[in-house]
Amino acid sequence: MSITYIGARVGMFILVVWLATTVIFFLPRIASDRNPVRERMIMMAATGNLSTGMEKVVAAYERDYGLDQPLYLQYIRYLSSVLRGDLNVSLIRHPTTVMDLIQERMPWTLGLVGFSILVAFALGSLSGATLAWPGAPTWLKGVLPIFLTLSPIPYFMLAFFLIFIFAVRHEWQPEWWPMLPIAGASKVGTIYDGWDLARVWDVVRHSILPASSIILSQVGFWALGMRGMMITTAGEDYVTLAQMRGLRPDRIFGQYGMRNALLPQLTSLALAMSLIVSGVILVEYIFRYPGMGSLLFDAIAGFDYFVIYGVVLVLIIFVATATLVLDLVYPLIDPRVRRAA
Amino acid sequence: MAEPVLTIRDLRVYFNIRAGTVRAVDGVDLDIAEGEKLGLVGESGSGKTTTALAIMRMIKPPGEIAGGTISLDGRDLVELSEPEMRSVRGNDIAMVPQAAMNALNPVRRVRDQMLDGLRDHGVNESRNRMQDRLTTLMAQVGLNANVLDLFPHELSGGMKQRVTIAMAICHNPRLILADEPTSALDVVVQRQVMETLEDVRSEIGAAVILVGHDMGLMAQFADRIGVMYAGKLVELATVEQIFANPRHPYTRLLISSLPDTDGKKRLQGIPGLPPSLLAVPPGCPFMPRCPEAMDICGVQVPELIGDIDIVSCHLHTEARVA
Repeated sequence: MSITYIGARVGMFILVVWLATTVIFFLPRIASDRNPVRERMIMMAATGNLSTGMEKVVAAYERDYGLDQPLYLQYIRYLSSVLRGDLNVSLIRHPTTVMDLIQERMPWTLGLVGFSILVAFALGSLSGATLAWPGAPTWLKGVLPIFLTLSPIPYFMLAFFLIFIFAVRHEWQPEWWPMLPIAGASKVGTIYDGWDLARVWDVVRHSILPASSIILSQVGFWALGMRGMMITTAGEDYVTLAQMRGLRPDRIFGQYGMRNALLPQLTSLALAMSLIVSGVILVEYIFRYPGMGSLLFDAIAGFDYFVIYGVVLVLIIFVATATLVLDLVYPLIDPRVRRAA
Repeated sequence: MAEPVLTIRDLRVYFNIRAGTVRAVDGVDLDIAEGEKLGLVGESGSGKTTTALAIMRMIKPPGEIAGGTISLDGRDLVELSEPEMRSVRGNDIAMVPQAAMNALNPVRRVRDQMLDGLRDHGVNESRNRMQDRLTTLMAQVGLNANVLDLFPHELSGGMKQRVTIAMAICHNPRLILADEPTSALDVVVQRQVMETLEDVRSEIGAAVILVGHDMGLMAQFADRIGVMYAGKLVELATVEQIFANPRHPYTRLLISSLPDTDGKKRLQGIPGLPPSLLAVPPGCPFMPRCPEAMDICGVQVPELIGDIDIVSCHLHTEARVA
């Protein structure tokens, strides 16, 4: 892998992040002239928390954050602060910084979403590969159609469905079945210091339903893609020759079959990352999961655009990184790309 | 004739498809002696490759070995369990595949793919000994040892085919099946690869079944030639016999379809197509295309006659009667 190749990929990464940041900066501002600060003040006034001098406060805010300046100046100011690693302050939860909010929410999203996507990918790819291979177990053949039926259902619909079955109709489950929480990431009002077993179990319990809704709707997608790739691979001459050489069946399945069939799957995974991330926002919102998704949702609802910018920037970097990592890793997993690289 | 390594009796390979049963191989008898080079020729669909795959027990559904025996040193391969058969493949019978272009795993180095074969057949030696083995194998097929560290896409077609030959000989098999091993190569490389195959074959003393339709190649390589037509063996004789005195009209036509070096003769094909193997007409399957067909040919399947030179044609049954 040459320096030029790496340089080109990293350059592309920077370009993508910058373009997306620019689009996301102007889009909400052009589309709407809502003023989140004023809205917040009006709300406070309505509840009697603020009586006089509202206009003064709004003006002070706007001056402090340059909101009274032309949009292009605000854009330059924003870009330069981002480059310094400063994502500004939430307009609604003043004076909490956007960076603090993201740092607080990020681990939850990474934990829930990262885990669910990987589990769905692994389960789907493995079962899809097994199904394409001769001698697939019958039960698996019966299970796949169920997942295929679930896969076109959006995550959030599946989430409602799970809530109905496991929470609303708790009496359908056997006695010993634990009540699964439908909101939050841990038990409300419990303060843990450090991570003990009780806390881990609490977090796991809370993640079961949201994680299931992501996994259930994803497995079929990956299984279908992998099955198709694996059927093609199973018919390749190198698999036939491996069989004629009397290699062990598990080696042929893994190193000759899956190893090759997985390559396009990994590309799909990196490309699907953005769709997955956006779909997951709603899941977090439904389950009131304290991750990036609910943060973004609340920010959009309150037109807290510094938070919108911050969250979207992180998501963009996340998706662009997935693509960059794939680009850099691909020559290592597919030697045929190495020459071109 | 020496004791046969492989004895095939009444081998039948049928493909059960919706339209009916395709009799791809229909009652083939064949003996291959120790160290013998047997050529198996015929048109596409004549059953030559299917016969080779059946010996490997690599017939995939909807195909099946519907009957007959394939004995390797007295052991009937048709009766073996799949795990037992796996240890035969590569070990006792090795395959040199047809399309070497794609026969190697694109994401694994040649070394690892060679080692896969050794390890999965229970060879467990020190790194250095394995390394020596591989280097020797590479030298045997005329390749430099540094080819081991390359990926398949970095090799030429001829090099890939040599690697598959090295894989085939690494367990000193009793029998090598070579299914048109040179069909994807240009003529110069073809010759080199065939010479390599012959060299390693004589070195380890294995018998070879060479499947193909290139009569010229067969004439140079084989001791005996079997001619297949519509799933049946129609003639089996030594190379000299086949070319000097072909007895089956089909064999005759095959040989006369070879290009002439004088270049004066017009290239001749065999008119017509082989019969559908779904519904083979009664009598001799070659009758519709046979220039010497007689009344009896449409009624009765000719029997195989002869001990060493075998032919299945009414021309010769009558000759015997008369």
